Amino acid sequence: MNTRFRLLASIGIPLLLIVLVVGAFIWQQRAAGTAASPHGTQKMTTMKLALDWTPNTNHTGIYVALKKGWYRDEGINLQLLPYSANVSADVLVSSGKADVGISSTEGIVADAAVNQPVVSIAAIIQHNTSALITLADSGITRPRDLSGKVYGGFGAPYESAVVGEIIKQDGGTGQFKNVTLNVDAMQALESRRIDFVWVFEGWEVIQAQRAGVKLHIFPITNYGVADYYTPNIITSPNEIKQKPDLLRRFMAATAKGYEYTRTHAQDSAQMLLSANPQGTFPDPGLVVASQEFLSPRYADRGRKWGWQDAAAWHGYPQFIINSNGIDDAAGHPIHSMDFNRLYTNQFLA
Amino acid sequence: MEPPKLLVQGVSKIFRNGRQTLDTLASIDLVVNNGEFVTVIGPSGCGKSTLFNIVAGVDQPSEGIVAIDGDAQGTRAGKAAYMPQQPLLLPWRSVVENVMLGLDVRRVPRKKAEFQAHELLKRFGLADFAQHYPATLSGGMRQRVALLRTVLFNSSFLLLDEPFGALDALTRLSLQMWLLDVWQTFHSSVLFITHDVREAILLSDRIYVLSSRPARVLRVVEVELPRPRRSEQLALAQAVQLEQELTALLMKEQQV
Amino acid sequence: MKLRWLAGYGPAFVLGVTILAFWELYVRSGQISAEVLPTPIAIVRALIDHWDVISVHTLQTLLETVLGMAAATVFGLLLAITLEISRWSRRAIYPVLVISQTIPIIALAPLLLLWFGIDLGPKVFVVALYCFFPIAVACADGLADAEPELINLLRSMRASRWQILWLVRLPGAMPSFFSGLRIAATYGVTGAIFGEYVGAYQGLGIYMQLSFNSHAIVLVFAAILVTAVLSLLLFGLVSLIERIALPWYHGSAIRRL
Repeated sequence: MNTRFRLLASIGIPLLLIVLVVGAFIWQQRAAGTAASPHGTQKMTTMKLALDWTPNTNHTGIYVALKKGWYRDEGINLQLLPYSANVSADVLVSSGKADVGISSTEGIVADAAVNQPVVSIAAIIQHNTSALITLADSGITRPRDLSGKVYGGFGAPYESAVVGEIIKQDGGTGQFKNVTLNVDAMQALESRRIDFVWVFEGWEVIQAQRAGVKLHIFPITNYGVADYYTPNIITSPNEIKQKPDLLRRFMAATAKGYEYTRTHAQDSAQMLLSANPQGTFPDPGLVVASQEFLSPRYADRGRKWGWQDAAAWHGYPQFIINSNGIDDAAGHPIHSMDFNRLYTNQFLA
Repeated sequence: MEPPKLLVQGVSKIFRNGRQTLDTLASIDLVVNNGEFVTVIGPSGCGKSTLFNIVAGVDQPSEGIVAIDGDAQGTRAGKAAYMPQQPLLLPWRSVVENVMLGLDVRRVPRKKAEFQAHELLKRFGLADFAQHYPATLSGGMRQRVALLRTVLFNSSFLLLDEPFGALDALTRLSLQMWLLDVWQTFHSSVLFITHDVREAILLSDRIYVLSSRPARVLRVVEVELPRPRRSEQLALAQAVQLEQELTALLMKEQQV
Repeated sequence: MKLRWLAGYGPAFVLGVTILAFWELYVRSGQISAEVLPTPIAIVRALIDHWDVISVHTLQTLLETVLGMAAATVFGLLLAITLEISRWSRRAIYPVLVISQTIPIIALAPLLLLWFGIDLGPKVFVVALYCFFPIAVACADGLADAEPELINLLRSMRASRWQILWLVRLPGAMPSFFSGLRIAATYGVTGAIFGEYVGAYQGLGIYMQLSFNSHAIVLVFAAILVTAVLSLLLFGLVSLIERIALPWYHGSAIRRL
């Protein structure tokens, strides 16, 4: 019947569209060979690693180990969970959705304070590479000149405390305006609406150099901030209790990857580039330059990658706690913490 | 003796809205025998439509008996084919689908219902419009389609509520003749509402005149004109006298 | 006939071209850096160059949108019918519906991730969440709007409540339903992108984030262009289906197959 036909057509067309889209999707997934999870061999254990950011040279060791098949050799099928703006790797790890992840010392301290602890099982970079930067022509030549200026931050509660401390250490008042940004730090700086930002010497600074932007760079460890590890590889206390052997094997492959990266900057950079879909890194030269900067810095010469010292885990964490920058789950600042529970070297060889 | 098609005895209706009460009908008595064409006329707003709603089973009387085919107890809904003042054609259905509506409600198989609807359209000269949508039809056409829908649902007892009120004089006349044709084809019993005295005289066997609210029966008149009726008959002395009488009666009620 | 239809879009076309021309000139003249706002031509060129990558993300987002909207339509329709059938449910449920639209994604995201994981689940949920509301509300209003006279007529035919719903209320509510559907279609793709921000392997939202983090702003805009085109196509599809389903609403005189 006429009405019936129209009714069927109205339902049929959308259904057809859905079928077409699903079909196209599945076909394309097959073609790209990236179908959800390969059934693989029975022996392999699947492990999920949650990234803290879009792929960058902090992660190179992992990508190298993946490419070289070292995880596979340890019987691990490693899946990288993409970075999510709304859900941190810490949450994924502490809730069990990811076995391991990447985070920062500040993040780890904050997690412990709100009773969702994660444990650092390796330090990816031994010495902190954070720096505050300003534009060269801004007239701000040292941290104390930052007093009263505008800071573009990422909305972390301890930022004010750390930045203020840096300014004070250099003799400034420690007062400044804190604006939480959702835009790119470099763009904000270049727009001149922000006076200074917090970046990493291994990435943004190199990027600026390549683009010919002149900066003043104030590495934070030069201004009274205790040296600390960032980023870290984290896992949950649960995971440590239940799967210590898996973690040991994971760390074996990962350490191998980072050790290789320390000595083969060019090659590792290429692996990082090719392991990610085209378009992830619009400037491959930056990746190579960044890798060459970072490779010797993952750990001091002669020291094995990943090992953590007590000093780094007491100095800075105590500093940010003292600044009342870390709150517990009810929102009250905490004043002490057992830092020894925040890290372990037991999975490093 | 077989019971009348419709027996209304002592029916009254009071509407309550919180504290307010509205006496709409006050003890109405009315009979429609099988095959009869009975008209109810009265001043505007006197409650004619309320009476219809009660007979159609959409509403219940506050007091009194309503019996269709001698049955005073059972549900009245569905026993009469009700045609309200507006044609109320479903805009998303074509003409033939609209005519089938009653059968669809009765869950008659589609093919059978469509066939019957088509036959009806053919019989009464509307076959060309079967696939049209109501939006493209004139007022007169829509009334015809509505009437056929009513007849197809239940041809034995029709309740027609001022079906030609909104039409111009010429269209009204042709539709009146058409209605008589339909009535005679199906030997229906018809209860008809109008406020047009001439129309009542032209169409009916018997006329009930209602007073203004609360409505009661003022007069019952038998129309003795010969069948088949023709509009010329309205010029006969008998018809003219009746018309004057009823008009005077109505005008008095209208002022009250 | 075709010409007249095209001419109808004339003003929109002219306006569009004018805006694009201004845009191109504004950036070329140096008023603003091409790093912040690329020219339209640069955007189109980038889209073409990177189509092989972007098409993968596009398909992902399209899948999420289409599935989410299907869920929203079914759920919205059922909800509208429920609200119509039981008047008390209307009073109870309506406030909850309104609140459901005010929850920001920041609050929802972690929950979604924990419950649904990283696959299609959370994206389809977000699309459905933001799309079901206009559909449900518009349809519910349409259902309630049925002419009382018509309902009376059906009751005189002894039609049951369900028959009245099926024969009169639902068909009569279709114009309103499509109104709601058109609004939902406009938000569908953006909803999927928000859902991807919860966490995803691929999709236009993720692509935009990756490109942004790598300072490839022109690719962000290319993704936005794709989003706009997808939204327009969805909108057009809904209008097309409406034309098919409701020829009577648009004054079609005779049935057309």
